[in-house]
Formats: sequence, structure tokens, C-alpha cells
Amino acid sequence: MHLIFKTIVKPMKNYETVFILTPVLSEDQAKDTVEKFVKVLTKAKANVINVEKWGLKKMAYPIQNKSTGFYNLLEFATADNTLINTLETEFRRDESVMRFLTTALNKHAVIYNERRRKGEFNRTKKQAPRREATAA
Amino acid sequence: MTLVNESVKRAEIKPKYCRFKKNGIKYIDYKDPDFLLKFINEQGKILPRRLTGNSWKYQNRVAQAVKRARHVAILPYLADQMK
Repeated sequence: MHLIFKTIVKPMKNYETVFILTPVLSEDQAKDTVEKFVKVLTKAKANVINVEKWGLKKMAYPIQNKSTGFYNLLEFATADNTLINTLETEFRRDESVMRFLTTALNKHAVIYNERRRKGEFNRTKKQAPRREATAA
Repeated sequence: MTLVNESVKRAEIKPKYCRFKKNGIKYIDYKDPDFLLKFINEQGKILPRRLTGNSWKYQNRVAQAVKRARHVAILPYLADQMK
């Protein structure tokens, strides 16, 4: 019996999702909607690794006649491959989500993301002066 | 009158190489526009392999990353003057 059970258990797979919320929302509302999507993941027993809020960013081209948007990044691991569908239907239902993109991560991407979270890449180097600029 | 082609100075022609293979980069992040900017021209088009020198494998991954970046509006689909 144990053997059969072991073969049924699916391995965890890593995913990441970038989604853009409308700039019409206030900062608190944007935070709440992000939490709503995190809850969808935690309800399905997914392992939420990282939630990043990049804040209000200028987009490269207008979407729904808006030139800025709240960028958010979710990193999670799950063994349930139907979770992506449920998450994406949630994105489609929510009118405040302008764009979303979910990608499955391979082993190189997982290593890269770990290093990125630790701030090993120039992203953090470039972010630091930006923060100074906004503070000054 | 003899017509002789000018001799090509071999030292001036640098051999192309794939920067990903050379530097051991395994994953190309679509969320990093500054890095992807190296592989597109000022119109926002993806540069061909004959100019970037990438290997087939990594050229495909660059193209995939640029297309993902375009979808989430990190890079433009079309632009006049990007650089």
C-alpha cells in the first residue's frame, strides 16, 4: 500500500506570476487584492515562497488607456497542476487586474530566483539609487 | 592592370561567441529589462543571431524572454527611439 501511495504523490513544481493592477486603486486596495490572490494559493496548500510588490511602475505601452500600474510578483510551489487554472480564472474575474503572466520555473530559474531574492544581482544595486532619489 | 582583392586583416575580425555559454548564464530573466535591452534594436525588435552571436539554444531563450517581457509591458512591442 505504501508503495502505491508513493507513486501517486506528485512532485512539487515551482511557478511565478507577474500581474499588473490598475493605478485607479489606492495603495491599500492594491495590497488587499494581492493578499486575496495569496489567499487563493494558501487555501490550495501551495507553498508561497515570495511576494514582491514593485509598486506603481510606468508601463512600456498603455494598457486599458493607462500608462502606469501596480506590478506584483508571486513565487510559489505546488504539486497541484489545476491550481494554475483556478488562479488564472481569479485573475480574469477581477477587473482590477490588467495583465498577468504565469510561468513554470525550471531548475536554473529556481536557482536564479533564489539568488535574486538574496539581492545578488544588479537589480538591487540599481534599486538603491532609485530609492535615494525618491527620498531626496 | 591587375585587380586584386584587398587582403582581409584577420586580426580585426573578432570571432563571434555566445555570451551565455562563455559566462555560464543558464537562465534569462524576463523581468530584467536592462539586460534584455542588449538583444533588441531601438525599434524594439529582437536582434538576429548573426549580430548577437548567441547559440541557437540561448537565442531561443532570449526571444522567449523578450516576448514575455512585452506581454507584461516591461518592454514595448514597438518603439521609435528606445536607446
